[in-house]
Amino acid sequence: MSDNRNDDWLDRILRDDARIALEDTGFTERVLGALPASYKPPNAWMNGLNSTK
Amino acid sequence: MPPAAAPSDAELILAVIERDDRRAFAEIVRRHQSQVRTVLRRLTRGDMALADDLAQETFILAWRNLRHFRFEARFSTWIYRIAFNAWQSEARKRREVLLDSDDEKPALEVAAAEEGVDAVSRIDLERALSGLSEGERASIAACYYADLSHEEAAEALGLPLGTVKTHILRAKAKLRARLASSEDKT
Repeated sequence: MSDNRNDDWLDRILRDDARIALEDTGFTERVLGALPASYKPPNAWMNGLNSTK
Repeated sequence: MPPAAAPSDAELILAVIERDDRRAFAEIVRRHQSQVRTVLRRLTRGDMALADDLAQETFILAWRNLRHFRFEARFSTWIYRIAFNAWQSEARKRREVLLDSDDEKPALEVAAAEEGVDAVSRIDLERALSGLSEGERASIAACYYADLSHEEAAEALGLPLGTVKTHILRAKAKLRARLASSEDKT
């Protein structure tokens, strides 16, 4: 098999795996239950995330 | 009357920022939880409990920092960057993570397959992914599971673009070899 065909095969496996949906199973409720009562200043490393795009 | 269109991510984010609307934030979490948790499961080598803890931390950090979200960016790209940082921060607590190193770490016990998925191939893939180096696995998670471009992945992971491309090439060569050898055994 050529490299391209190998890549197609592997790309399909990875993309198929990425598309599998996980059931929420209470995850959203846990996040909401853990939210702080009010906004707090961002973590220092978050500043770098906000400067681009 | 046609059903109302679902609000966009941007509309939900505005509702959170302007009114601290937690129901709007719940909808954001519901929309993105599956992909964020999947990415983190791949990063943590199938450690589902740790991945979900990090996913929860990711969404809490996102909520705290929504005011800083720039609307020209995709929300998914922004939240993956938070998730990658949360994972790297957690990994540093345990040991130093060198994303540009080539070392391979022993794989953790792989998780059981999700329902509806071919169990053998899923476990083979998890094993193959868990055998990659940290940088290779992170690059695959970013480009395939988070669906980021190489440029976006490099920025999210804090790596040079060339390093991400090299990690992807090496990771795919290893995955091809390992998955082919798994097929030969069946």
